Amino acid sequence: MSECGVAVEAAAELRGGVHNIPARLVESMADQAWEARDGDGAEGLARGQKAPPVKYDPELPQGQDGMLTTQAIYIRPRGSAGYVLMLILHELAHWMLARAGLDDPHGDVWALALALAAPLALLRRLKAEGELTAVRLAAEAGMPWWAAALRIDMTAVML
Amino acid sequence: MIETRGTSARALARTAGLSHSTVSAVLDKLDANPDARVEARTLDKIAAALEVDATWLRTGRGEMDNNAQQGPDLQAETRSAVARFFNLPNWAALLRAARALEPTLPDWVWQRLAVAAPVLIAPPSPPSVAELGRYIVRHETPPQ
Repeated sequence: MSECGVAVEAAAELRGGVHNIPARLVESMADQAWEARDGDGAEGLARGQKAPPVKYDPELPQGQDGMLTTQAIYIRPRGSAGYVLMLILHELAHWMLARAGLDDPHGDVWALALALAAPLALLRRLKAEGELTAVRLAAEAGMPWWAAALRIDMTAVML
Repeated sequence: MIETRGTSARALARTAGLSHSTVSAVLDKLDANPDARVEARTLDKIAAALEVDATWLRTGRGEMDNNAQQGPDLQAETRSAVARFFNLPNWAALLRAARALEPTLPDWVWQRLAVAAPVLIAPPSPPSVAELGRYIVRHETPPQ
């Protein structure tokens, strides 16, 4: 499966997957993670959450591009930087939901991963500037266009 | 089920990574009322430890023991209630087949893999799960 396949899967999970927690809680968890971040990028967010370390490994066994265990977030470094960002944030979202004592269905995991990539404050700023498009959001947040489009969709009722 | 698997509540708790009191409480609850509500995550861990299908244990629907040779539906898998390896509908069969390929790997490896959360880009197979087991051994430290 290519990055496009993962994108299609993420879209399906967001729209038709299992969601256990309200959207406001997702946004709140992402905002708190941004306040607590310890350094730049997805790894800074992970460090701020005291999540297991991110380990990039091109030799990660075939069949998965990312894997969270109790000891590490393993990432296969392939594709665009934006794709790698989303892989890390996906695994970090699993970890944050589980640490909060919540189940981590993929609907919630992808929602939190996207919120971590682009916090609501960024979307509000772009909207105020009349620039809330997937292209602009992707450029500002360093996320893939597909992820930016999904993020705008999931926050449409909040902005 | 525990008896037919030739195990005990204590051994089951150890394998599932749960406390003995948690497993005993769940069993007592289900003894009193088979329809009693039990946390899905706990039941999923018990299903993985018993090597039975998690959906079957939770709902009574589907097969107790899915066929590892059957090609899994990746989309259905990844849209399961909790996206961990042990939530795969055919995890019990996959695990059994992978363990047969790597019989010397210790239990902690398979337990750690069961609760790992992957971004799957291809349906897992017994050889790929066995490879992940070897990967865990090479990269992770055993529990103290």
